Amino acid sequence: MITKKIILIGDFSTGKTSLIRQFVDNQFSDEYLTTIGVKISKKIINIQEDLEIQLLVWDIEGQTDVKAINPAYVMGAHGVIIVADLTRQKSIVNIKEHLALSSKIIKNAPVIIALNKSDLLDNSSKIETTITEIKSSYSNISHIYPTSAKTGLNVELIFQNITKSILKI
Amino acid sequence: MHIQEVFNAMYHKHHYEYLVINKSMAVVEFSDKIIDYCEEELLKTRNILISVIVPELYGLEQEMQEVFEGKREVIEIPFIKKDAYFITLSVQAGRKHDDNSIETLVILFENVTEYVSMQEKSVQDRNDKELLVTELSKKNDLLEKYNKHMMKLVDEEVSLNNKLNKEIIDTQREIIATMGAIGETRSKETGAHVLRVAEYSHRLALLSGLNLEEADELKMASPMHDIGKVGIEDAILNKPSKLTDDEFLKMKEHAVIGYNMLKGSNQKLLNTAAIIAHAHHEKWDGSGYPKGLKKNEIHIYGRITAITDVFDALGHDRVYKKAWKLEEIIDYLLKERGKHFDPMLIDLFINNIDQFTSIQKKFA
Ligand SMILES: Nc1nc2c(ncn2[C@@H]2O[C@H](COP(=O)(O)OP(=O)(O)OP(=O)(O)O)[C@@H](O)[C@H]2O)c(=O)[nH]1
Ligand SMILES: [Mg+2]
Repeated sequence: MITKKIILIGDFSTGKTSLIRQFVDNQFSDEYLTTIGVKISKKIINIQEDLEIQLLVWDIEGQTDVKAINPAYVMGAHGVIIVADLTRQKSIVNIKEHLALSSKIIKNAPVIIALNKSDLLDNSSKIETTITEIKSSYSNISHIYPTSAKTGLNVELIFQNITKSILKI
Repeated sequence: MHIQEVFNAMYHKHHYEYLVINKSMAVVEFSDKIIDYCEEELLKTRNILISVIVPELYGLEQEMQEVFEGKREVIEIPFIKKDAYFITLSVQAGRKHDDNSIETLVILFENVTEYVSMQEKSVQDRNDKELLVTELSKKNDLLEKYNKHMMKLVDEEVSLNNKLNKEIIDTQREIIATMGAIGETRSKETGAHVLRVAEYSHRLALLSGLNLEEADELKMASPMHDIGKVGIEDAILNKPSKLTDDEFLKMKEHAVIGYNMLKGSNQKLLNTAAIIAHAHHEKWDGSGYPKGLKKNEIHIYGRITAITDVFDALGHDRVYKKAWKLEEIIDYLLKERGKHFDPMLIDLFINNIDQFTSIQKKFA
């Protein structure tokens, strides 16, 4: 079976662990237990009717002001999901750093941006403007989605799409 | 010495376990307790690829190749969370050929659970604190926005209030003018009379040292000074010849009638109007009516209106007389100085007569 390594990076507490938990176990918790180091989960998904892919999903300790993301976690990734928190502007600004890190260490791996916690916004205009801003700043990123680990919005979709991008289908 | 013995000796006290792989990335040796970290079944499978046994190394084939080639010293993946513990993986050169080229790689597993549990709480605390700070600053932003909104609302409220106040004042003024006009229609006096009296009174009030608010109050209330005339019968009110003593007594009642009509309101303006209606026929020497008050017993509004009312009446035709010339009027006012009129007010009036004649022209 084809196996692919997907990493989730982003600022701390943006919901990386929660997105993976929703994707792998269909569960969500309001509790915040910060990730130390890295944890790898496996999930097999069906991309097409008879195309099963095993994903190794790397849940990586979030970046804080005092601690950058360890480049060793990024090495060898086939796809990158950068997670930002729509309610925390700084985590959106920092997408730039995460992009720089991943493109420095891995070449040609597709990148998806997940604007998480969309359930906490009560008007969608913030989402639209953020997406437009990101698109105009990073013209090579075409996949930007609002997500919610809480409601499950677009969670399956980002993993499906990153895998399709990796396989170029 | 067998490589396993070397590593056993070197790493025993550091809780290291290890796997050895050859150039085809297949496992060739491993330490005894490696089954703590890897599936035993897989380990037993011959020529199994390292990334199947250690999925953390999946995708790192190129990097491992670089270690083989001596281009990279080590691959280290720290703090990998397994179910109940943390390990740090490190891939480095193992056995070498005679020509110093690398024959195998060693993958070391170090149990770092203890180290991580020492760090865990402080990382969590720091992140929680950081979140709290962001939350607070979000709340502050909200509060600021809310405050601005409130200020705007207050501003709007104030300006609405001002507008309402102005409307009330305008309405009062209109009512007063209308009431004054009713009095006039009945007495066939011109509409301009009350208007001019109001303007003269305003002017004289300011000259006498009253403040603008008081002068405005007087001006607004003054049109009603004769409102009591609505209670006087037409035959007397519009009699073209001199009134008899009886008729004059009746006529005099308009001051009290007006007063009674206007008093007792909680509107300041109507109260002022009541004072004026009551007092505008009182005379300085006490010979006026209805109460025969003297000097400063007479309200200043009454003393002012007494002068301005007479000044305007003499200057215009009435049913019973023709208009007087200005000199004649001034003579009369001076003659009545200290008798009918407050001498100080008369002095102010005469000394500033230009101001009054120009009002007269403006409102003719
Ligand atoms: N409302 C809402 N809360 C979310 C969502 N995703 C995550 N959270 C909450 O956000 C907090 C952080 O979530 P995590 O998944 O632990 O974030 P993380 O990115 O893994 O954080 P680190 O491991 O510290 O980098 C938790 O309290 C979650 O319950 C979401 O989509 N909606
Ligand atoms: Mg996490």
